[in-house]
Amino acid sequence: MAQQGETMGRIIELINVSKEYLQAGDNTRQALADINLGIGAGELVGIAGMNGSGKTTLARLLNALLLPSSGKVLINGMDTTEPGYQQEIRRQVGMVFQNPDNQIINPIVDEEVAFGAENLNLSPAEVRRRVNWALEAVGLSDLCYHAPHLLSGGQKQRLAVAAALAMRPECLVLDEPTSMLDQPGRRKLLKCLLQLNREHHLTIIMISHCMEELAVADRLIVLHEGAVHMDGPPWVVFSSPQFTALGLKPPPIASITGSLVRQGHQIDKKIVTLEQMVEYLCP
Amino acid sequence: MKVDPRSKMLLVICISGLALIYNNPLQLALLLAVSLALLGAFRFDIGMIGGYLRPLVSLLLILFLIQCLFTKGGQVWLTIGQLELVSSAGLIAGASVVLRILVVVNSAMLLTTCSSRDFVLGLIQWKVPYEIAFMVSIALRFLPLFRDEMQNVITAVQLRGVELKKVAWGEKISMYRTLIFPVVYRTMLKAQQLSIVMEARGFRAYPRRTYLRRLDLYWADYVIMSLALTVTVILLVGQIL
Repeated sequence: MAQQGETMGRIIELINVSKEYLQAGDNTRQALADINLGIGAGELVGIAGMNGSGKTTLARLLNALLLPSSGKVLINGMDTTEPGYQQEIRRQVGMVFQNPDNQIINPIVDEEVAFGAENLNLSPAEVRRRVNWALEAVGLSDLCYHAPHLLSGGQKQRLAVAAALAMRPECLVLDEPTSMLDQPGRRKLLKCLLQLNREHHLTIIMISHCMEELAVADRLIVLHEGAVHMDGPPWVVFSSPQFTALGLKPPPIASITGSLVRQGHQIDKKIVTLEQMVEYLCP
Repeated sequence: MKVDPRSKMLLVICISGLALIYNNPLQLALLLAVSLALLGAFRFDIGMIGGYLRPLVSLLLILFLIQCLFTKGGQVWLTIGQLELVSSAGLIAGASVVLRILVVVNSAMLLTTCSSRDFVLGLIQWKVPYEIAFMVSIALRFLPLFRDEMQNVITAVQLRGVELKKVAWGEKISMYRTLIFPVVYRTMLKAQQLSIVMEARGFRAYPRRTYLRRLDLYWADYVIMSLALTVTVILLVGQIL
């Protein structure tokens, strides 16, 4: 499948990237093997794969939390292995992790959001502006002076997104952000992310095991044993036999669409979400 | 009237400093009264002090007895045969030790009347390096986490049919020694995850950082700090002379 992001301006490029981890007894485990990938500005990219496929390693390479064993990771042309670029890379690529509780640093919501912006040595007035904007963007303005540990799981994750947004990143990487949330929390977080992507043109890279969430992405990348096996629009990836061969299951709507197409019914092959199906059936 | 945490820190330092220098139970009792009065003035619930001090009761009793038994001098109050057990010097020394500890603990409670973030901000504005002040803040945050992890592990053990309250003391100590490992491990894991989040948000990326809030000193703070320093210096000089 053709790799997308080639026609758009690329903000992230991985060139022959491999990553190995040392294990006991001088053994190494290869987490990523010769990855070549480009992600364009404003894309909403989903990353799927079985446990141990290298998704989290890939996410951490993008923020320079991890450095590649070989190859290059370029963020807007900046090599993550160059120490002089790491500060700017950390600003440009924000990260949200899986566990909402483990991401809370400060005891008040506005200070939690301000933490990253303060680290950039911005003026207090600028920090305050960014805090207000970030809280507005995630719908938590009313909770500005609340204690983060009293928020719901979904609110905490949106707070983590706001904390990353305050640094005005060009890209947001989310590593299984909804895995510890209930249904309402997931919906609100996803709605927030879609809004950030569509209205603010924020590049979003989301790792998830939930295919319904990844179905809304512009592009879906599937990792398996440290390599990119599939890369394309979700409707193409879900309908490919290779997808199920890799041990993954498409979302129910995509399965229904695929079945209807195979049975010869006239239906848009690109329908992979419930909203798309409803819109198609009830225009 | 909101008092700056730096004023409270200075009060704690002055009172604790005097407590370390005084050896007279009467002076220490007066210091204790001053610390209790300050706690009341800063709207600390005096009734809660008992709860905070309860874990220290056995320690204070042991220290009092040790001082009584091993400090000799003055009038003898209790003997067993030829052995002098308790003398007036011992009682005075015991009372002094207990009162000193009470003064230090009570004055430290003054710091709980301000939020931890104000406390850290106060340290930073006193030119304490941010990393050290931040360590204080994170330590305060991790204490309840440690307690929660311990509770989780104990619950997990209870779910496996072990009722810790009914276990004999010797076996209980051995069991807690085993349980401490997963608690420490899980807490360190949380600490590692938090450090990753902090790095991802640019912690120490630049040599300087700014702060969203600033603490300002008002006239009441200047009065408190001047008074505290003046009185402390006078008392110290008086003690020395």
